[in-house]
Order: sequence, then structure tokens, then C-alpha cells
Amino acid sequence: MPGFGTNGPSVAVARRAGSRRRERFIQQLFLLPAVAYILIFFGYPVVKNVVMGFQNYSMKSFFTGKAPWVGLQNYESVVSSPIFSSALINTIVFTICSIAGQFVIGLAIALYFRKRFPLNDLLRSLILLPWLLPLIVSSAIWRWLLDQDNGALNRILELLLLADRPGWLTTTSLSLVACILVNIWIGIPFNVAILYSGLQEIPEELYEAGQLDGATGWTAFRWITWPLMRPVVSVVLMLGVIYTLKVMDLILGLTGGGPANSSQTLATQSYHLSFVQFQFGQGAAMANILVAISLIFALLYLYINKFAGKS
Amino acid sequence: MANVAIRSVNKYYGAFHALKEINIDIADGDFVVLVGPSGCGKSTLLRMIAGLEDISSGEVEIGGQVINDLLPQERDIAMVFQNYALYPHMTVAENMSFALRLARVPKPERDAKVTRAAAILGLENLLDRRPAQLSGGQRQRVAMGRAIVRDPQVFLFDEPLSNLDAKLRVQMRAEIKELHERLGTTTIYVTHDQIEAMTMADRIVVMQNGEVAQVGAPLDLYDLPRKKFVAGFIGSPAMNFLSGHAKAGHFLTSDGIELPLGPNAAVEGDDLSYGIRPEHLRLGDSGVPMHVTVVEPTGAETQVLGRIGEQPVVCAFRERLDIRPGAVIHVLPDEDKLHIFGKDGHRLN
Repeated sequence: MPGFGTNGPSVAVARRAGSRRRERFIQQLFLLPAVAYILIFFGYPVVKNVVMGFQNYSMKSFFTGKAPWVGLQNYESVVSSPIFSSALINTIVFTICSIAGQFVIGLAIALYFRKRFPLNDLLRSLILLPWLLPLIVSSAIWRWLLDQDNGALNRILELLLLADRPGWLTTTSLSLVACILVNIWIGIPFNVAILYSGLQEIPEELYEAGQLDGATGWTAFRWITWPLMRPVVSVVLMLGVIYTLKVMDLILGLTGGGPANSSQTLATQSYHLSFVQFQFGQGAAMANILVAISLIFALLYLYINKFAGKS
Repeated sequence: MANVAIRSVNKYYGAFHALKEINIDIADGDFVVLVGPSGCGKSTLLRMIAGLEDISSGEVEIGGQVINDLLPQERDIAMVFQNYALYPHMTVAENMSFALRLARVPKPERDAKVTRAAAILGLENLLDRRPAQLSGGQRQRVAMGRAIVRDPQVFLFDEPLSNLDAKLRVQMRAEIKELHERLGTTTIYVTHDQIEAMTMADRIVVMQNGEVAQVGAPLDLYDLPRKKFVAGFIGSPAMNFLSGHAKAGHFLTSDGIELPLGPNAAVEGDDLSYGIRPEHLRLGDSGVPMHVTVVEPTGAETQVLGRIGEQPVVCAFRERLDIRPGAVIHVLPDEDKLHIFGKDGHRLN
């Protein structure tokens, strides 16, 4: 068989290449469910929302199926409306104050839990409770606690003669403060969990070496804990910003964005436009602005994460 | 530099008595090695000297001053940790000068000290690197540099070589010893490795179950161990112990084999241990019969593992021998180098 020796190898190579292609096809098949899920549940809504932002999409559109293209008109009217600037400022204040409060208290608690004391584990898991409650449940409970006439907080303040029944949820000067306080309460567990695990990563020996070098207490925090926690801190802050920017259910449950839009943020305003005023196009435009802002922080987060992974 | 005195020191963890009435005197400039198996309390004792553990009772003195209530940084000591404990976010130079920086030593002085220590340890080219960019041996050197820079009264080493590979360990062992010769600083060194202890120490403290089993110069411990534990712990391969009883100048193993007692004929009793180091067994035409099970030629010597009666025995012969597993050889114990231990583990001869 003279041909066998020359044909054999090339046939084998071709067969091997074929089987490799087949294998790769099967591998990609396994990705299909995940890809389909992302496309249907993430891709479609995002694209639809972006398109809606350029359309005059109202209740009528649901019946007629027609939503005329209006270009940037939705964005123009959303941005030029007087509520936008106050909602933007509220969003910034809400985000910065919430993050600052959550982070500082969360870090303090995480540091405290590094010490060994009885029931440490139990208390640490209890602290996660606010995180486990549905936001709408939390806001219902806090609405009750913060009630002007019958709320527990005002009763206590009254007993201590500290204040005369402030209207936490009904006064324009206090409604955003109340929302921030409740959001801090909700955000603490997340901060504690991540920061505590970050602290656990720092070897005890470094603190012992620190003790011999003269770094204890605040000095140890300044020179050992803080520099080694920096990557974790960046991640916590970035994720915190992304989560806080989109907080909506909590504010809706507490104040509904009121009184007189005093606790209205971009997220709640987007909800109002879409589902109270049924201006779906404008609501979508508002939501897209929010997504764009979040995206900046999300990219920052990815960048920092990559950097932290490298170092 | 200073002497260190440990007086009646005890350590309790709750009800557990971890260290029991420890008394050790360390002379100025001595290199003392605390050695013992895991859990014997050697690291705890070191950490108590460093101030990382409380002293339950008793006193520790450095240079004549009781330091029980001083903070670690006030004790004028420097410690090298098992995992080096270098600050990962600082460069080598920053790691080495950290203590001086916190003590507000002026920068020129700090730099001078770091440069000097780096020169001693051959770290000059690594000063700008971070610990993650260094090899194990280099990290070890930086940890030592950090200690040297502080110019302390006492160096403490906590199993500093246990994370290095065998070859590097031998090299670093010599370097630490050389460093001690050069600086002359009182050094307390903890290890579980008896070879490290033997090769490095001026004096060895053997610890067992939270107590000091014996203190002495390396060869004194080797030649005259006062307890069976010390005899078995010091020396490699370890001393052979054959159980049996002695009566009227004869030692009979539990298998009924007679072993010579030589000058120790006066020893009598039941449940005794007949201790003989592997290198103190000679090959002979007559003598105690030994069944060979394994032969290990190391080049420098030939180790022969086997049994006398039913009891395991190791011999180390200087010669290269053609002995096969399964053979029966005859061995003669060097009668001047016997160690006889009683039932309670104390030396009888």
C-alpha cells in the first residue's frame, strides 16, 4: 500500500482538527444558557430603555404600539425641569452622607469585632440582619419608628427632653436626613462584612512586629491596617456608591420622595415620571442618566479591582 | 547588650499550666537556643520575653531591670518572626527603618543605620524592593536587618529558618551564627530542630511539657543527658533505647538478650532503658546479634537499621559496608558511652 504512508498523517491531522472543532463547539454550547440569560434579562431591558429615552412613549403607546421618535427632547425636558437639579443635589447628598456614615460606622464595628470577646460570632452574624430584610419591610418598620406622633424615636427624644416631636418624614428639612439615617443602618452590614474579611486577611504577626516597633493603637491603624486595607476600602466605597445611587424602594417606602420633593432623588424621580405620571420616555431618559453615572463608578470599580488583584 | 534572667516564670492559659517554674540565666553575649518538640512552651517563653504574652507569675529581667510591665517597644529587644512578618506595603528600607521612624530618629541617622545593616547582610541592592519581590532567604535577611537596625540589647528569634529549604537553612544557620560572632548581642533562639540547636548554641535549653528538662553546652547535653527525653531528643540519628532490667552486673533486654554494662555494673533495677548512640555501636565478630532490615549508605557513613531481639536499633558505621537486609550482624556497645535511665526517665549512671 504505497499511498498509505503519505496520506495517513494528513488524514489524522484533519481528523484531529475536526474533533477539536467539535469539542470547541460543545464547549461553547455550555455557555449558551448564561449568554441567553444575560441577553434576555440584561441586554434587552437596557437597549429597550435607551430606545425609550428617545421616544414619546406614553400609556397610548401600549395600545397603539406607536411611540414617535423625539430625539433628545425627553432629555431636554428632564434636565430643564426644576426638580432635576434638586433631585441631583439630593442624590449627591444622599450618596455621600450614606457612604460616609456606613463606612465609618462599618469600619469601627469591623475593627471592634477583631478583638476576641464572648459571643463575638453570634453578634457578628446578628449584625447582618438588616441586610437580610427586604428593603420595603425595613422602610415600613422605620416609617413606624420615625412617626411624628406615635414613633418610638420621638417618644424617646421626648422622654429625654431632647426634642419636641420633630416630623422626621413630614418636614422638608428632615425628610432627606431620615432617609440617609435609615440607609446608613441598612448599609452597615455590607460594610462590616467586607471590611471585616479584609481585616482578617492581615496577619496577626504584622501587629506583633508592630508592637515591637512601637506601633500600637492608632499608630498601628495608621501604618499597618489602613495601608493594607486600601484595596478593600476602594472596593467597598465604589460598590457602596453604585448601590446607593440606585436606592429607590427605601425612599419610596419612607417619604415617597416628599414632602414637596425634599427627598426626591434621580432614582425616585425616574420612578415618578414613569409610573406616577406615565411619561415613560422621560422616565427612561432619567434612568439612563442614572445608569451613565453608575457606569462611571462601575468602570472605576473594575479598574481598582484589577489593580488590587495585581498588587 | 545585656544579660537576661528568667526567674520562677509561670504561664497559665485558663486552667492549663503552660510553663512551670522556669528559671534560666543567660549571660551577656550568649547565644542560647530554646529547643523542644511542638507544644513544649518554648515559643510561649520567647513571646513572654518579647512582651507579646503576659507573664502569669515570676519575673523576667533584661540587664538587671525587671521588664514584666514594660511594653514590647520599651524592652529594647528585637524579634525575628517565623514568617518574617515584614510589612508588605513597605520597601525593604522602610521595613528596616520603621521602628526608628516611629521613635522619631532623624532621617540621616536612620539612613545610616539602614545602610550599615544592609551592608552587613548583603541587602544593598534590594533596599527599594518590596517583600513580595524577594526570595525566602532574602526576606529572612531583611527580617534580621530590621532587628539589627534597632541595635537592641537582646535578639529574639522564633523558628526563623523553618520556612526555608534545607540547603538555604544550612546557609542561613551559618550566617546567623556569624552575625552573632560579629555583633556579640545576647541572642535567644527558638527552634524545634535539634541540629540547629547543636550547631548554633553556646548553651541549649531543652524544654519538655512546659518545663526545663536540661540546660547545658551542646556537647555536654550530647555526652551526658540527665533525662531519657533529652537523650532521645538531642542527636541524629536518635539514641537507641533498649528496655530491660539489670541485676548483679548484667543487663537483660525484655527479649532476654544480655548487653554489657561495663563500668556501670552497679546499676540495678526493673523497667530500665539501656541507651546507646548509633555511632557508639561497633561491628564485631562476636557480640550482640542484630537482624538487619534496612541499610542506608549516606556516603560519609553507613546507617544500618535492624532489631536486637524485637527492639528496633540503628547503628552508624564510619566504614562503607557490604551488609544486606536480612543478614545477622554482631554489634558491640562502647561500654564507656552507655546511658542507663530508670523508670522515671532519670539517668542512673
